[in-house]
Amino acid sequence: MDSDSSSKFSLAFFLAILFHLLVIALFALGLSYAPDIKIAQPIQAMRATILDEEQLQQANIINAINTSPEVEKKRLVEVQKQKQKLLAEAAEKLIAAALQEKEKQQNVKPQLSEPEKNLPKVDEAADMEKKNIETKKLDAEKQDAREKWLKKVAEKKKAEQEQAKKMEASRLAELEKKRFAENAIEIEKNKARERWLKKVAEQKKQEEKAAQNEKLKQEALKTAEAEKKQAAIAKELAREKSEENRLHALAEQRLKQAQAEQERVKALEKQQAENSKATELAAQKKAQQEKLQAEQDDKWRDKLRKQFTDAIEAKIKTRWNRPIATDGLVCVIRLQLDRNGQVRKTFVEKSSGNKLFDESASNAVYKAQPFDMPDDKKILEEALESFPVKFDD
Amino acid sequence: MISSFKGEFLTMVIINKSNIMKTLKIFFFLPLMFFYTSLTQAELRIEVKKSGDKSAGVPIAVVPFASQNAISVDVAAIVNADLARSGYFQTLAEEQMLTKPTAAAEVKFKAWQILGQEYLVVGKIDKNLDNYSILFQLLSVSQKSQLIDYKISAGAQGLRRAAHKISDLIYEKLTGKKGVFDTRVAFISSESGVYKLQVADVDGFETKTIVSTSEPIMSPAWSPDGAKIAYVSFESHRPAIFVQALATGTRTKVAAFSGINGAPAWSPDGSKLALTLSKDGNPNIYIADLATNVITQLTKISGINTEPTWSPDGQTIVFTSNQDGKPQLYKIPSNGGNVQRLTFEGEYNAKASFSPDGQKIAMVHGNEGSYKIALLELNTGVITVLTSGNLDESPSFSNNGSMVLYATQKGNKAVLAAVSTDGKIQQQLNFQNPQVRDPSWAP
Repeated sequence: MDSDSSSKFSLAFFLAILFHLLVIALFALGLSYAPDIKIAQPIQAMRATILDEEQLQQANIINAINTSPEVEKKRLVEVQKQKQKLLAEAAEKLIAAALQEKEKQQNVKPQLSEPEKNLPKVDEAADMEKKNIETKKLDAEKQDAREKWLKKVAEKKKAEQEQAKKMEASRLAELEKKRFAENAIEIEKNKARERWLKKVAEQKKQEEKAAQNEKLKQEALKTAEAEKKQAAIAKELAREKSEENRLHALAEQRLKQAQAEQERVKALEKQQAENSKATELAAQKKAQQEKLQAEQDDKWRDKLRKQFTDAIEAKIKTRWNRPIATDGLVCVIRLQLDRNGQVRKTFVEKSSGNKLFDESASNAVYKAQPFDMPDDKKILEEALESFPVKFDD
Repeated sequence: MISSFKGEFLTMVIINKSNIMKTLKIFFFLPLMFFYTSLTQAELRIEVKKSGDKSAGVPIAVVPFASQNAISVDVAAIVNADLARSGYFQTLAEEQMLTKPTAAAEVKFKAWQILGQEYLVVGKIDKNLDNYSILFQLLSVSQKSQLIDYKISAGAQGLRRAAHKISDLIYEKLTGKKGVFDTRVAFISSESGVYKLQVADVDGFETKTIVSTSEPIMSPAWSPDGAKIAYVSFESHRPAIFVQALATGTRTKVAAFSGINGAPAWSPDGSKLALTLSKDGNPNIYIADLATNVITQLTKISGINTEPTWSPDGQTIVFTSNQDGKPQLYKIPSNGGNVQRLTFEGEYNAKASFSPDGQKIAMVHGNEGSYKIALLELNTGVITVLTSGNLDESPSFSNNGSMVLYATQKGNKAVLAAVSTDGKIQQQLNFQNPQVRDPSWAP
């Protein structure tokens, strides 16, 4: 048992430690970990157009109807055709380009191979020389042509530049003109605006003036009302104050009266006390004596009472005809007597369950009357009330 | 020989004159009661303890009823005898009476107080043609008050019953319980070889013979309405069960099988008889439907199974069986079912008779050859022995449930006696017949 519980305890203990360590570790981590605070970007205003959704939908529906499958098919076919056309054109262009290239090459080849063909092999060197010279010649010509072309190009360029300059100038002038015009419009606009503003300001001024006037009026009214109210409150307060004063006065008066009365009573009591001190002492003595007497009387009365009840019991007992087969039965008869010791009333207070037995008890009481009544006043009173008579078989 | 007698009609106009007084008394008492019990804390307290074992019947004087005419029946004497026989009262002999008042107004209580009387019955009988009217009062001598004041009318034939009725009224007023004076008893008497089934008033008078035969008669049983009696007769030398109407004397044979035909018992509704038959072997309980004459077997038990009796609600039949060796009481649902043993105390418990409330069974309780009448409380199973005889038999409950009638031996005579259900009051019924047994108290 003990080891068991201790092992359990150690496990719990271990878990607790582990948990605590975990908490500490988390805390440490939390310290070094600066949370990535994301500040909400200010919301950029967006431009939006209110669209009638219904219309939009209808439009969509119309589009959908327009782009019905057949139309769509046609459209697709057209696109396909165009695509093919474009592809064909591209292919043709390519083919054309290829053919041109081939032609070019073929044109060059004959130029190159013809001398070879034409020249006999024997004087190849001469041919070569000839060829070289010719090529040199050709090159020179070529260079000339190039230079000429370059010159032309430069001239052209120059002209173009000049023209561009001219155009730029005119454009700038136009721009200047335009800007000027724009400026004029702007100035006009500003002027108009200023005028409008002035007007607005004036209007505002007037309105403010009117408002102030109104305000003043209302304030005046308000103050008048407030004054009225204040006056009423003041009146009320005054009334209350006067009432309070009156009540205060009344209370004071009453208090004074009460005090006076108290004093009077006190004085009276004092006097009485003084007067009765002696008699009181006497009374106390008397009471004590009376008490003693009463105690003695009570003892004596108990004795008298017992004498009375014993006499009744004896009288009843001798006259009680106990019925047969009533062993163990008990009943209580309540009895009331008159001053002559005669039975005034009886009734069965607690039945024995046997009527014959109850009746025999009642009968015994009646048969035993009259009873000797006690001289003692108190016992007589008791007897004149009612008391139980228990019959115990 | 079969004879019959007609049920006498008794017209009783019962006027209770003291009812108004009683009501007034109650009204007068009620406020007093509350007044005294609530206000007084009386220190007076009296306790009357019994001295010695002196306890006797309550003294009551029944003054002879006055009448202008000579009347064959002494009503007051019958009342006197009834009250005395009950065991609860001690009556005053006529010769001891100092005065003989015939009405409450004439009564001087002092005279009766001197004689130590508690109660007084006075009355007179007026005759008007064949009709008699009896006026009587019950007075409390001790309390000098009138308790009851009745007027009963009867024909000449009904005077005896009227007297028993007066006894019942007085008894009920004083004890708070219903009287059984105005009831009849059926029994079997035998003298010099003649057996008679007879019916008599419970005081033994007015005996009528129902059946007379030289062969034994047994087990008379009253029908619930008191109009018929079932019995077993050996008149044909073998037992047979008959049902006979009292008013007409007509009778029907219910069962005459081979073997035993015995112990008839009426169902509470009077439509069936439970019987003991041995026609199928050993004696078992059978039910005979009187309307259809169909007889069905209720028990199928070995040994002897006999003396069936119906519970007042008709649901159960209790019978005697020796199936476990010795005779004991068993019960079975009246429409068949499981048999359950009821008695375990004593060697012999037989001849059950249900109390009218169905709570108790009176039976013969035997131990070591001594047979007494005992009560079995069905709720608790407690058995209380009521009688002190040695050969007490055939218990039969009175219809008010307060007494049990039974047969016993006095000397060498078979007599009838009754005992209160608390066993405290014993009565002997005075029948002139020498041997009387098998009593059955009429419903």
